[in-house]
Amino acid sequence: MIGGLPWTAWVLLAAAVAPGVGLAVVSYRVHRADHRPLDRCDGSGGVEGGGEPGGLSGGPAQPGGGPFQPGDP
Amino acid sequence: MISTTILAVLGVYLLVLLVIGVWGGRESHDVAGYYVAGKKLPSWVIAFSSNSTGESAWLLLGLTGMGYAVGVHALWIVLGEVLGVAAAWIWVARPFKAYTDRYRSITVPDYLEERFHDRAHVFRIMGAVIVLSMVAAYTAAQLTATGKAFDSFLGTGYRAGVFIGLAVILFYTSVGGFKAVAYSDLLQGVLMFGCLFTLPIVAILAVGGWEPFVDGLRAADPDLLLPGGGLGFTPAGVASAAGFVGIGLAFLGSPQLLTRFMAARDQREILNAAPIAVLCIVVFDVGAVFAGMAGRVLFPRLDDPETILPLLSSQLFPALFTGIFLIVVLAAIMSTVDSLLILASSSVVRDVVQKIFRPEASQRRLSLLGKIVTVIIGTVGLALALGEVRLIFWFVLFAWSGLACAFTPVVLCSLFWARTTRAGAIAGMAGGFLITMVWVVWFKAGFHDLYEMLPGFFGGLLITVVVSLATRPPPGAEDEMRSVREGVGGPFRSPKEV
Repeated sequence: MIGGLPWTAWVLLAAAVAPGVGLAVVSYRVHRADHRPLDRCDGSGGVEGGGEPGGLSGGPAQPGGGPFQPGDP
Repeated sequence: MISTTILAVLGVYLLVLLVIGVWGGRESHDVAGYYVAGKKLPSWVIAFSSNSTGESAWLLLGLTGMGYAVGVHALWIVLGEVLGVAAAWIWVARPFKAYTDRYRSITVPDYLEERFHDRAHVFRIMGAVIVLSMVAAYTAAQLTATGKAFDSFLGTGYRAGVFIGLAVILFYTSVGGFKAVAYSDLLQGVLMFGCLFTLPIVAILAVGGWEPFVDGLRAADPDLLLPGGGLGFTPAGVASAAGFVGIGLAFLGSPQLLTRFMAARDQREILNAAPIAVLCIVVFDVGAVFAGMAGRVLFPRLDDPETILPLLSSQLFPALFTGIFLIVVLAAIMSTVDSLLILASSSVVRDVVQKIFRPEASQRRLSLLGKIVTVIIGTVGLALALGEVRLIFWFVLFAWSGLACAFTPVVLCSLFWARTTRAGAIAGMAGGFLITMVWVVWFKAGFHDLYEMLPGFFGGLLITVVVSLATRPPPGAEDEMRSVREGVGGPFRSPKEV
């Protein structure tokens, strides 16, 4: 029992909700990769940069490893 | 006496729909404008439109009632629908959009005819027969729910409620076309989202919080807390859970939902719409189930579990919110009926009249004919609804599964298996539809009431594959599919515009 509900009920609830949350996270990363400037990406991301723009393959190749800041040139 | 607040809220809502109808009418003067809004819709609109079309009054009255009646067991429906919606947006939407743009298709039979070089128009004729028969039943069921909703909230009487609901739907659908339908779906979807996000929270707080909620359910019936419900891990329990999950298969290929993918502005809008659509369906379904479960604790002795949502809204909220809940129920109904009417109209006007009998007819004339056909089909639904067709949810599930099983297996094969042949697709379409009907009439009762979507879908899939393997492979399909895939990219990759 967790919070009064059997663990099987929680597993079912998690299974039902997880695809939604997972897709939202992955899609957000793709969306963010699409909108960063190409000259920051060494040609490895972006719309047609020739590399993986993010998503399931482990995320976009960001120089310096940090997330893109909107104020960056 | 009817609250003036409720009437005012309802009046504003209906007025907004009429305005959307007039506004959408500016783009409904040609066939593509009337049936797919010129393929210019943005992500928010297609995301909410697909969900509010896919979820009818069944979501608000049926699924809350299911949560009330079977508790946690109803989460199997949530699982099926969330998986179905997620898979549709991840894998189906973008290749389907790419193919239909390439063929300049505006209906699903348009796409199938081009994809399989069907010069005899078999897909169009079969599609029109299936769509018209199922849409008539589905529309009648939804209008029945409209009459009940008006009557229970406002005391208008059943027949008056049906007339009022249909009159508004027919106005904005026939005048505004698909653009009005899609934008009204957005409004209706947002209302449904707000209602199903708020209602379970308020209802659980009204019980006294989480622990009294769970304790109350356990006291009412311990089986309400078990995923297997009262049936447990028995053949009947497994059949029930599998049937619930199977409801989600329809999201992969029902024509009224595929139309949203076609109507998107481009591939990027689909990519952006995906998370919105999936998060939205999570809130819709989880909210409905938990609202029903909280309702079971608050009002344990209802004769009809499907009245729990109107009861919760009237008992837990002030009149203004009761009015909003009324329009949310109406919104769920209208957003489904308008889409079905447009779908049926396109089957007649685009698939049969324009493409088979009158290819030379002017766009303006065809658009006008589309509006007339929309009104005629709505009137047929009205006649059925007034004929005491009261078994709403049986009809909804029957029509939902009939449409889905005719189109989904064939559309999936056409998108992902280049070896699919014209003969295989025709056999699969007919087979999926017929198996669904036959299962309901002769076999369902003997197989623990297993929901017909499962045999219909998998039967249609099997027939498509077997007949395709037994017939000559279509020339050029492999290269075309490769070209589409290269243009679309992987499920989570940025699209190259194709």
